[in-house]
Amino acid sequence: MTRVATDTLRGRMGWLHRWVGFLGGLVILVIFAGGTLTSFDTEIGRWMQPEIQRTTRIPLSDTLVEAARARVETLRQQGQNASIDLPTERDPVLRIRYGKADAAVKEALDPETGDALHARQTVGGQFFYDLHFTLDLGHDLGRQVVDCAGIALLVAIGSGLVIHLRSLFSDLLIFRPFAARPRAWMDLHVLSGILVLPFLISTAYTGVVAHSGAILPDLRGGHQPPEKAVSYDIPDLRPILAQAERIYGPGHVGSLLFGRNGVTATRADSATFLLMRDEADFSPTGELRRTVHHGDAVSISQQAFRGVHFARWVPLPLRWMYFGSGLAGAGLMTSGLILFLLRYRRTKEKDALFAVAETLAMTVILGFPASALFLLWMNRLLPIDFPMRSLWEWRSFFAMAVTVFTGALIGSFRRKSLFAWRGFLAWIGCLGLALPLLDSLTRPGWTAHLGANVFVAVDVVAALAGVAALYAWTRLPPGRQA
Amino acid sequence: MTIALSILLWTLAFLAHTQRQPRILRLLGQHKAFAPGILLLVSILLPAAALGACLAAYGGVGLEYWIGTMTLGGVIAAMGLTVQASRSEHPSKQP
Amino acid sequence: MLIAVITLAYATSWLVVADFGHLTHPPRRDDFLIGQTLATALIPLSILIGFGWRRDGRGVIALTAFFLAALLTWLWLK
Repeated sequence: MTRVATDTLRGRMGWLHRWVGFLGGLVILVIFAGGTLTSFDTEIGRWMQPEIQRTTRIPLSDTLVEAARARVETLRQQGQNASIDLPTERDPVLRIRYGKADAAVKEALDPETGDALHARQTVGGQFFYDLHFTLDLGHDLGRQVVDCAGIALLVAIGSGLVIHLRSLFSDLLIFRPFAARPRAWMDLHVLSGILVLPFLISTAYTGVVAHSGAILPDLRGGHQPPEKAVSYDIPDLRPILAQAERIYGPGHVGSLLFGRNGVTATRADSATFLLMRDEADFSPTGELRRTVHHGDAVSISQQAFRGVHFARWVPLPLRWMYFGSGLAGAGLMTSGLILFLLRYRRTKEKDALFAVAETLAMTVILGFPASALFLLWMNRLLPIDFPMRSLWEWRSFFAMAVTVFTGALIGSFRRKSLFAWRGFLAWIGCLGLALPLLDSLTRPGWTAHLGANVFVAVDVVAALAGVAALYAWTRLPPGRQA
Repeated sequence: MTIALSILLWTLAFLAHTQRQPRILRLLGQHKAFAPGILLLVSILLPAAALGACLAAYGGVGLEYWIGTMTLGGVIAAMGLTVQASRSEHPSKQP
Repeated sequence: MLIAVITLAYATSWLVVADFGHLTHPPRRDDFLIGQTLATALIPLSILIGFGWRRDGRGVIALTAFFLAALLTWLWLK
């Protein structure tokens, strides 16, 4: 690349945007697509446990609270660190959470009888949440990589703005899908970039800030030493819940945690825009000891950042807007990766490095939707009592990703990448379009839930993804390149 | 209701904005903007009205609704323009 | 060039957070949070300024000066 010819601010930013955008974009697209699905992580988790068909929250019964207390007591006697997640509008059943943090079991209890619902073990929507903020690379390394990718995204946004600033207003909303291929992709890139710009900047920035301790100095060892453990039987939880509801408001208690020397009730993340994580500590006999509220300016600003990014408080219409903006952002990144390939295809097509670039781009652009849909398929196809079921679901996601990678690699190096693009688009189309059929065949009593609910929503979105993939397949007839 | 209103206001504001841009007008086969001063005013006032409506309905978090409806309004306006441009026989819509 | 800019931008931001973190003894979590919030914006901005202002390497010179200032502040506060 000749830099002399492009030694203007716009030229330099163009180079920066292209390379940071492509190299970062390979990672950012996975993070962003994972984050988009995380907008509905709870709902996807419910789709993945069709045995739980309750759709609305009912008031906690004494039977249920007592059953939960007894279950936690049993788990604690078995050496498990158990807690209770109380029902919410989005997940209307009480769940007992135990096991490792990154592979927690969330056992659901019947709201009326308190009996375990024996729902299938699944990675659930939590899988996409973990993928979004760690890329499954482990808590520390994962957060470091994701933070760096977030900064790359901010750089790409800044440089992209400088490049397009001149025509930002005059060309606003121009989209020519039937123009020449690079022009059409560029229009889509700029259009989606402008329309989700505030969302993109705010989510990228707040996301990096939320985990900035992974790559920047952080206060370590600043916590107080753990209090001395006290052996205790779990007290009656009803007065604790009543007291916590008086503090946080009805229905706004999130979890009950059972610590070394007492019970802690936390404010539900969905209660307010600010993600407060307020706590009320109770003694082993159930008396309120103290409440913890972080109300200083620094804490409030951090809570606001987290509130914007984690979006636990958002009602359904706004949640769909988050989802739609996430999809548009994914479209922005996809079109950016394709523009990079289009730019170099003519001159570098025979280079091995170009084949590597196309392999990686195809893997993230098509591998993610194929793997996500395949995960949903395996969730329904694996027998309910299959040993290590969650692990096999996890493996199925990455097996599909590796399959797409291998296909893309072979296609790119044998210069038959178009065949691979078309093949995987058709595969995604089939997986998406047939998912509603699979759901109807594998969900007990599916006819009783034909209204607007999580099952129908996931089915419709999957089918739409399938339609989009098949439309792209028709726009990519044999003999043309992407 | 507020969401629908905000989407509508944003869509109209975007359309008003595009009707002032010579490049877009050429794409649509038109030659001259109709009352550009009024269109400018509309493209500024309608988003402001949408912001007011969102803040009045949802308080501080109305800002998030305002941003979200901007995206939706933009998508609707862009789709409308694309359909209009594809129907236009004007040669400048060609790549 | 890009690697030099990224390295300088990151090192400077790292020192800025360390500066904030050592404003008080013992260090307070709030100071770190303020530093982290600022540094998160500072890293991409530094990369854009450092890389965009590349003619004669002035961007790198400016970033180096900023880095040295942050380093000296840190040494002084320590």
